[in-house]
This record gives sequence, structure tokens and C-alpha cells, in this order.
Amino acid sequence: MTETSVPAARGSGQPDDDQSPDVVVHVDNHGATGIFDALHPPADELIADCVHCGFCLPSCPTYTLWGEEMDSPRGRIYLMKAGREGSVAMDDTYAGHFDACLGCMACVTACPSGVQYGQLLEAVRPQIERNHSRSRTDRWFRGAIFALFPYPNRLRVAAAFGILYQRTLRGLLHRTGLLKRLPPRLQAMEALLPPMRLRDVVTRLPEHTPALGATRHRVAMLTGCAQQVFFSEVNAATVRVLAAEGCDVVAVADQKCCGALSVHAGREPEALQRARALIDRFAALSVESIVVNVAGCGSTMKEYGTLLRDDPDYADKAWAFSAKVRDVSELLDQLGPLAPRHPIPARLAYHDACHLAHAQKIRSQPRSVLATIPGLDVVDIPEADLCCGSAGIYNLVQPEPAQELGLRKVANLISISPDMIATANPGCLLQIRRYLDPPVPLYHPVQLVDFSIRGINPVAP
Amino acid sequence: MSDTIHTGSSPGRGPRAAAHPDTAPHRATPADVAEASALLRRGDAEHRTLYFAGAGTKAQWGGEVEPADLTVSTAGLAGLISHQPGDMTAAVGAGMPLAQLQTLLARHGQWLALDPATEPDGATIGGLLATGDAGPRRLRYGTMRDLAIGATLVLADGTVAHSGSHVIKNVAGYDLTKLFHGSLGSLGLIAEVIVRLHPRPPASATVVAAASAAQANTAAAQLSRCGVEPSALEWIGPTGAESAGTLLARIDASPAGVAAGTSRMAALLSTLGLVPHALDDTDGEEQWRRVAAGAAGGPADSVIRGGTRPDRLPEVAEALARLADQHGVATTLVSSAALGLHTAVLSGAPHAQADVARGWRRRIEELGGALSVRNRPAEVAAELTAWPDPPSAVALLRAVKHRLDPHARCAPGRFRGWN
Amino acid sequence: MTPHTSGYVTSVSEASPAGWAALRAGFAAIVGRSGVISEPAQLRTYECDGLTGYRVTPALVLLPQTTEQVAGVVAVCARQRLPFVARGAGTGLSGGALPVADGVVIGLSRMRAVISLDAANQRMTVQPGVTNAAISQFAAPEGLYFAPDPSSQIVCTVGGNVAENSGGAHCLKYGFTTNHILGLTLVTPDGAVVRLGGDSADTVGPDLLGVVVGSEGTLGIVTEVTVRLLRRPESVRTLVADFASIEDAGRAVSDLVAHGVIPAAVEMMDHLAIEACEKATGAGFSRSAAVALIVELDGFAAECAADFDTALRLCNANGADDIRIPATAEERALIWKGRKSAFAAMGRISPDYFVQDGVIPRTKLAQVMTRIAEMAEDANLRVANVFHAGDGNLHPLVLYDARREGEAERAEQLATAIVERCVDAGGSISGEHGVGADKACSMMKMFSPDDLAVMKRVRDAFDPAGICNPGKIFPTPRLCGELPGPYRPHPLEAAGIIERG
Repeated sequence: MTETSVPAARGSGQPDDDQSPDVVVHVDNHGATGIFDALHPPADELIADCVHCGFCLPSCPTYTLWGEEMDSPRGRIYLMKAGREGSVAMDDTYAGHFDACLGCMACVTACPSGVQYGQLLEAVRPQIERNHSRSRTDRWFRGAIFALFPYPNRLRVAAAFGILYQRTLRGLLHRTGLLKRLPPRLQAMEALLPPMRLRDVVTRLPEHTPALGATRHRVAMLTGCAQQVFFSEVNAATVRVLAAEGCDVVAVADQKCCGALSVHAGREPEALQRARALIDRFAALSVESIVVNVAGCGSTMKEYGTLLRDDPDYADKAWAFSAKVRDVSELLDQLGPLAPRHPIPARLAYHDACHLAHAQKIRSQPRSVLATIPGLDVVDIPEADLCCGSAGIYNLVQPEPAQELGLRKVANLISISPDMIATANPGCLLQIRRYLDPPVPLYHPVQLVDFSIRGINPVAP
Repeated sequence: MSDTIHTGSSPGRGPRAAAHPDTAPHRATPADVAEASALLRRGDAEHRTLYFAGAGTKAQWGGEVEPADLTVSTAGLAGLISHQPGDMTAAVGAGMPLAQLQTLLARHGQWLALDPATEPDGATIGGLLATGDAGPRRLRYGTMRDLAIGATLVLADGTVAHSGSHVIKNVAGYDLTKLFHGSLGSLGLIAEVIVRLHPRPPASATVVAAASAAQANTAAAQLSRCGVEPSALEWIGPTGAESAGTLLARIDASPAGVAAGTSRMAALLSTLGLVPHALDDTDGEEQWRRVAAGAAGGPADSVIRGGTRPDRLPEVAEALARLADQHGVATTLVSSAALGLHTAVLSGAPHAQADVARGWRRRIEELGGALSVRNRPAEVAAELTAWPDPPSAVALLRAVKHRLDPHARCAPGRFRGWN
Repeated sequence: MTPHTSGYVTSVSEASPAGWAALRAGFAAIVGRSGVISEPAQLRTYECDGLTGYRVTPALVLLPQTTEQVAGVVAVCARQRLPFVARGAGTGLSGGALPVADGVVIGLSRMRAVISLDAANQRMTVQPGVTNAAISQFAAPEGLYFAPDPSSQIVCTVGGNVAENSGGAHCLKYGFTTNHILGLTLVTPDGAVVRLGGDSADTVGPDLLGVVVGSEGTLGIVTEVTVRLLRRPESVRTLVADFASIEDAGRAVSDLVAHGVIPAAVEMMDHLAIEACEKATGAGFSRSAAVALIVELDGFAAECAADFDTALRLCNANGADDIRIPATAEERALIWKGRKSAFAAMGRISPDYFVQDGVIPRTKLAQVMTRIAEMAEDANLRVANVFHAGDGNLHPLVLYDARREGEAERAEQLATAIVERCVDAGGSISGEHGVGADKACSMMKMFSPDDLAVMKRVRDAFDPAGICNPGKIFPTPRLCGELPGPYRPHPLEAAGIIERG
């Protein structure tokens, strides 16, 4: 039997708790799992599903960029297998190939053998966090990201400074070329900052919004972290649309981060703590569905059951929670349109966010929902399955490949000459906005539904 | 073994016999592969040079072969070894004339999909593989490169090697059958060939129209794309008093398909401003014989062959006409318009023929292509090299030749300039 | 063929650490530091291709980007007498890209540029790392496509197609890769660069281009490929017919041939294969059918329609239980997706499998399939069958579970026995996957010692030093035995160089 000692979650009821992943989790390894410790190493049966056919290679963004086996799903699975055998070391090179993986899961869509690469990756990332030490700068940078992004109030403060910076220093740094001298990761952060207005940054949603007319459905809404700060108008639009479609919407103010960024970065203790907190917070609400308008968050929340499978206190609650999670397009498609739509005659390029299309297999629903808007021509883009490079915190920690992918995504979007671009994830929106030149209006699909219901044509001259 | 001794020159086979290489003092006609092997092995120690002869219809293609010590005729290796109609394959002795094979296969409604001009003169299966000779219908069906799926080869030292198999789909081992394609007898004896067959087309029809080279170029491109899948597209250049050439387009299909296809091709030619005439099978055959004859030439003529990208036809035709005019040489040009293959017959003073040929070669090379010589009278041979400059792969060609024929016994001189 | 008998020197392992570092630096000077892969974990990922039964870790992997870089590294290998193996996407099924111990893998996966497209003359020149499907994608705006369509076409590279002379489902009408290659740039094993083929459609001299295509990477490395493009046929008609037995389905195909119809593609899948396909793709094959027959006709609309009616009639006449005709291009694409995912989909019904590639004369189909079923029963293993019924190219998939004692050995024996049965029936050991490392010992079943010796002479003409993908295609009598027979260990395995994966 393995001894797993995990320090008790500290103060799970307190707001803004600091869950540093550097809390070391010691897991004794009795050697049957190679370089991995015994806490959920990547499973042999899942690895064995891979028949090495290579069909995943053309779908993988890093293989598309670099053309080397180690940075392809097939190669990464091979590294997992070698890791289990114990025939390779978990060194910087080894960890680096997993850090380079975007976690976009385009390979899952492409694989004919049904390999569950997403599950394998989510088993490997925590292993690397536990069993491999990063460089000090890397640890510091990641620590800083995770001290900021999962906390909306801290983000608001940072955004306020960001607005100030944009109005004062930015021009200077640009003109003097000092900007280019910053380390790539800081440049990335700087460049991703969207234009903001202070009032948007501080606005909050009402905690309860009743349905217009008869109530068809009762939902709780995830307000998100980056979403509520940088894209508060998307949240507002979501609530309006849901209400217009007969939903009673509860958006409690004291909900916290769902932990998606932590899951995707392999910071497991932190992720578990956030999951538990969110489950607890929403448990008190009597709702039929939990609506999410962020692809990455929805994907993780649907996996809470798997995440908390080892926790006897939360396992069942987590499955029940996950069963209620719906992406907003999923729910709207399920409910069917009620509120009359007004036309938006425009050509729309729709970008499938990876955690919607590949992770949740939600492709048709956003299109069906957008199809309820008369006059809107929704056009698919070339290389639609290729990640935009945002991938959670990827565009911060791996700025070079993220840039190549971002530019490529934008080129593909522009190639169909759209009047507008829509995608269902704030990370994608920030990434695309950064590289979009000349500017084309960018929206979350639910904003377009909102415009249509309210009779607004956002691209009218 | 039959071993007859001939003195003096042998009777010419085929229409051109000016400098016939089949003048060896000894001639043998082995009756099977084992005999052929033993025969070749016997001469190995003394390095007796060899000349392999089928019907001799293409004996002069390429470089002039030096007089050989022994001519090995494939006339004794001329049987139909096996025919599997259900699998659409047949194994044939190299010496069997194509015409004879077609007659045998026709009984099962099949044919070997080749229509070379040399067929009536007795061109053999082995010769067609060794030379790569083909006819207009190569557009649809390919050449022996595509139709030969296996071969039995006998090397100069008597080694017998089999390549390929009786199944069309086969990647086991090296494709020696293709290696011998175009080798013109310089690598060894082709004793047997396994070929893939096609069902005989139920019907065939041809559309002809007068057309200039430029018009033919455009028409051929469009006919290739119009969905009909023509089996041949040829252009005969203007001869004598004619001001325009003739475009011929052929379709093989069921009677209904032929009718539909012919009218579509005719309609397309009309929209291009040409005047099409649809010909049935019999009248069409007459036109195709004209095409074949056009590329033949007499004993005092040169026959030269250029290959370019297909859309270069107008430049190629213009260059030939200009050079012919300049040097007072009469020419006929037959081009496989959609393939970029051009056969020209030159008549006139030998010196002038050589000048025209050299000039045309230069122009064709400028256009990215290559020109080789099929036939020429002796006086022209003195002034015109058979082959273009050695290709970049010449070292490989020499290495392969050296391994298969270390003492250079097979058809010495055939690739003069490259060895 | 062991390193000690093939004629090359394992100078890398015998070199001092300083010599080894110098070699790496020399390569890095040619392909850049990022083009040299040398970390142990990274090298492991290159140790096999699509044939996972055999693995050999290479000493180095190089990823050049230009013809000059390829020539440069090959020249170094030639000077150092270092064996090298070229690799495309590593999807080959015969171990053609299996590395040589203490040798170099030269990966072409970064050479993915389109060099030129001549739509008027229907040809395109690309680097060898461009995938088969990408060629057609690039040509699509001109209404053109690349006809050879191996099932792995979305990932396999055209360089790999050239090496193996790949076929695919539509090769019955359209031929194989070799019928669609107009020219190649080849780096020969001594590091020289030559051009084969060219603008002229005539072969001038012995057809070296025809020998190199299908030579499985043993005669040099192809660094540019000029392909022939075709116009899409104006009409495509497809049907999927369910039959109760392979005999019935086979008779339908024979009748079709006898009526003079040459379909563009004729494919068969048996019950097990259908099960896997449906699990993977839900393409709509009937799970209750014993055999599914896909017949696709294309070409001139008038002719195609007539032939399609003939095909329908003949399928019915031979007892087809059900015939499905896809109504849209998407539906047809899904059928082909199902068929083309067949191998990879096997992972859903079995942890491991060997896929074979034997060819038989089409008229022997029913007889050989019956024999295969008998052999499978005797070996107590399942065999799924997917095959190109039109040209007799079988793909028996011998399913096994490596975790069960002895099953892997039995599976391999059965796979080899099936292949040799194909030769006995008058066919070939490989229709499209190549001989590679996998079937080298079976070459002696199909060819005599003289046949192999002459092929070897051709190989020696290109590669006298024996460093270009050594150990592939040709058996060594000492290790394979004089006569083909029951299971023999792979030559490298017998020499203790590699282990079963």
C-alpha cells in the first residue's frame, strides 16, 4: 500500500486563500510506476489504447510547428510509456515536452483508436509538478500567475493599473523600443492586455435575474475570473439572453475560481480545493443547470467527478454537480429559441475553442444557436481544429509557439473576409485580439444572440 | 539449340535498314529461358558482345550499336505462356509479336492496351518493354512501364532473374521490370514479360478537326478536362499545302458512352472555333493509321523524338517549322498533345537534317525538355548525337550497367556518350 | 543483417566521447542545433514506425530542412561509414523506418514546402515531408488532386509513398504511386544530388526513377518529388452491399470484371473489421453483415451511370442482402473514413494486432480466405479482414493480446504463414506496405537466390558501402535459414540487437 500524505486543505471557507502548489505532496513510490509516483500515474490501459498509427500528428499544433516526434501526441504517449517503464529520467527535457503540449485535445478528436489523451495528460502534469523541480524563475512566474488570475478582485486591481499603464507609460515604452527588451513572457503578458474601461472592470452581475415571462428553467451561472473582469459585457449578455429565453438566473457574488487553469497546469492540490469550494457554494442553490460561458471552465467542471474520485466526501457530489454543467450554447440549443430575433446581416467567422470542440465535443450547438439569428452567415475557417495558442496560461509561459499559432489562427480567420469574429472563450478572445490586424469586431457568440434579441446590429455602419 | 551462321548483312526488318546492327557473324534463337541462359553464359569468358533482336522495328533507336559477336533472337521465346482472363493478366514470351498477342486475347474480350505504330511491322512484347515504344492511346492506358507487371531477365553472365509477379499489385523487391524499360537491350535479355490486360473497349470513335498548334494546345487541355476521359489526343502538323494541322481526339467506351462522349467533344471543339467531324470506328482507324504513318519516315529520313511539358506544343511546332524552312528540310510533326511528346520526320540533305535536329534539340532543351534520335541515315549519324548530354544521374546509370553487365557485352554503343 | 556482417562500421559506438561530440557538432553545423536530436528520452520516440513489434533506439536523429542539408549529413555518414535510415511520418507498416543500432535517423518531417505548382500541365513539386492528403489540398483550388490514396493519407508523407510505392483503395483504376511520379531529386548514399525523371514523358534510358520508387529507402533519400495531378472525375457513384459470405461477394466482383467494368475501387470488410470501424467512426456499415462490399465507380458520367447500374444488378444477382447508396458527398466521405480507419480502429477491439499485406490473384479470393479462416481457428486467434477485392491485396489483421502468454509469438507465426500462403497461391508477399524489416525472411519464399542476387547488384550500384537503410528488404540466409518455414526470429532480434516491443 502506498502512503499518500497530503496536507489538509487549509481554510477552505476563507476567501482568497493562497494555495501554492509548492505545498509538497509526498507520495511513496514502490517502483511499479517507473519515474511516476503511485498517485494516479498515467494508466497502462489508456497508454495501451495507442496503436502508434500517427493519425494524431497532423492535428497537433506543436507537431505542425516543429515537426518532431517528441512534441506530438504519439511521441508524448511514448514518453509516458517509457516513463512508466522507468527507462528514461524525468529531467528538464522530459518535462519540457509536456510543458510544450497545449492540452488542446485536437488529437482526441482525430484518434481512430479512442485514446483518451486528455486523461493521460491530466495524469502526467501533476506528476511533473510533484516529481520535477522547475527553475526558480519558472516557479516564480507561475506562482505569480496563479496568485493573480484565479482572483477576480486582484485582477480588478491589476486591470486598473493596466488601464493606467495603457494611458501613460505604454506609448513611451513602445516608442523607445524598451518594450521589445522585456523578457518574452512579460512582453506576452503586456501584449495580451485588452483595451478596457474602468467601469466595465468593476461592474458586477445582479445575484438574481428572473426570467422574462414564464420560467422554463432555473440556472446558476459561473461568473468566471478573467471573464468577469475583462469581459463583463459577455456575462451581462449571457444573463440577458438566458432571462429572455425563460431562465431564472442565479449569479452568486461570492463564488470562486473553478480551478480550470490549475487543472490544466497540473497543480492538483489547488485544483481539488477549488473544485470542492465551488461544489459547496453551488450545492445550496436549487437549480436545474449550471451554466458556463467559458469553454475552459465548462470542460473542467464537467470533469469534477473524475477529479474528486478519491475523495469519499465529495465524489458523489462532484458527479452530481458535473451532470448539471452546461455550456451556454449547449443549454440554449437544448431549450430552443423563444425570444424573437432581429436580423444581423453580417459574415461571421466562428472559431471553435478547443475546450468546447475537442474537450466537450460541442460543435453543432453554437452553430445552431447562431443560426437562429436571421441574416447571419456563419462561415467555417480553414484549419478550424488548430488551437489559437491561448491554451490556458500557455500563451504566457510558452510565448514563442503561442505567437506562431496566434498569427496563424488570425490569418485563417481573416482569409474568409469576415465582418465579425466569434468564439466562446476569453483566452481565445484575448489571444486573437492581440494578433488581429486590421481590427475586426470580436464577440462571444452569446453577445450576438443578445444583440439580436435586443434589435441591435453591432456592425451597422 | 539453333545456331545459324549468317554472312554479310541480314535482310532488313522494318522500313529502315541503313545501318542495321543485326549484322553479327553468329545468330542464335534459343527455344527457352534455360537455353538462353546457357548461351549467354558460354560467351561470358571471352566477353563476346551481344545484340538482342526481336522484330528489329526499332533497331536503330538511340546510339548505333557496334557490330556484335552474337545476335540472340527472341523468335523462339514467342509463346503465350499463360493467360488468366479472370485476373486480367498474361505471361508472354518476349518474342511474341503484339499483333499476335492481341488476336489471342481478343477471344476473351481482352487486349494489351498498347497501340504502337510499329505493331503492323511485327513489334514484339520484349521490344516494346526494352524501348518504351507506345502509341496514342498511352494517354489513357500508359505504356509498358505501366502495363508490364513482371519479367524474366537473363543477364550477360547467364543469370536468370525474375522481377514482379502475376499480380498487378506488388511491391516486393526492386522493380527490375521498370529498370529494363527504356534500356534498349543494354542491360540484358528480356525473355518473358507478365502484362496486365484490359477489357477490349466495346466501341471507339474519333473526332477530328483542322487546327493550328496553338488551337490544338488549347483544345487538348480542355478535352482532357471535360470529363470524357479521352483515350488519345494527337496533333499532326500541317504538311505540304495544308495551312493547318489536324487534331484527333479518341474515346473508348460503351456505344452509348461513345455517342455521348463524341458529341461532348465535338461541342467543345465548336465553342473553340474549330470545325469537328465525328468519325466512327472504321473511318477513325483510317485517320489513326495516318498518324502512325506520319511518324515513320523512309530510309533516307531522320526520325527524332522530343519530350516537353504538354503546353509547350506551339513553341515546339514553331521552332521546327522555322528550322525546316531555314535549312530547306521537309518535315512532318506528330504530337501527343496532352503528353508533350513530339515525333518529327526530317527529309532532305543529311547535313541539313542534322542542323535542323540540333537546332530543335537546343530549343526543346531551352523549354526544359529533351530530344533523342530514333532513326537516321548514316550520314546524319556522323553529325548528330543520339542522346542529349548525360543526365545528372549518369554515374548511377554507369554503376547499374557495370553491376549487371560488367564487361559491357550487351548492345555496346547503344548509350554512346553516356557510358 | 547484423551490424557486424553488413559491411559498415559502427564507428559511433567505438568512437570516444570526444569523437561522438565532434560528430554531433558536425551535424549541428549543417542542420542547426535544433536539427540534432540526441537526448535519450527523445531518441526513444523514434525507435519504431507503424510496426511497433520491433524497436531499435537510434544513436542520433537529424531533422534537415533542405536538399543541401540532407546531402550534407549523408556525406558525413558516408565519410564515417555511419548507417542511416530515412523517416517520413513513421506510419509505415513494414518497419521500413526502423532505425539501425548505432545509426542515424534522418527525418524528413520538417521538409514540408510546396516548391511549385504547374496547373496547366498538371504537375506539382513538393518536399518529401508534405503529406499525401496535403498535396491534394494544395491542388484543390485548381480542381486537381493526387490520386494515390493510402488509408493513412492524412499523415503519411509523399516521400514515404515514394519509398513504398503506396497504393490505396483507388489504385485499381488509377495505379500506384509509381504511376504518378514524374521526377525526383535524390540524394545518393555518397551524398551526391541527382535528378531523375523530368519534363519529358518518355523514359530516356533505363528507368532509374521506376527503380527508386518502391525501393523502401535503400537506394538514397528523396528530397523533392514532382507528382502528376489528375482532374477529379466528373461523376462518382458508390454503393455498399452486404453479403452473407465472401464467396458471394467475390463472385459479384468477378462478374463485374467479366462484364468489362473496371471500378475505381472495390473494397471488402468482414464482420470483425466492421465492428471496429463502427466503434471508431459510426460510418453506417451494417453490423449484421458477414461481409460488406464497397464498389466505387468514377469517370465520364454517361459511362459511369451505365457501369453503376451493372454493378447494382450484379450485386443483387449474387445475393446481396442490402445495398446502401450514399446520397451526399459527406455520406460517401464517411464511408471511406470508416474504411480507412479500419487498422487504427482495431485498437478498439483488441490490444494488439499484426497487419499483413499479401496479394493473391483475385480469382483465388474465396479459396484463400477460407484457408485463412481455418488457419486462424487452428491458432486460436481472431483475424479481421479488410482488403482491396479488386486487385487481390489482402489485409488480414491478426488480433492478439501481448499480455497473454505466447500469444504474440502465435500471432506472428500465423501472420507469416498467411503471407506465405499468398505466394503459394501465385501472389506476392506485399501489395503496398513494403518488405522492410518485417517480411525480409519471406522474400525467399517469393524469389530465388538468383533473383535476390540480381536485386542486390542493383542495390550495390547505388550503395556500395551498405549504409543506406541496411537490413531492410533482403534476407540473410545465415539468419533466415535456407528455406522459408515456421517462425523465425527477426534477424536483429536473433542477433540480440533488438527486443520484441
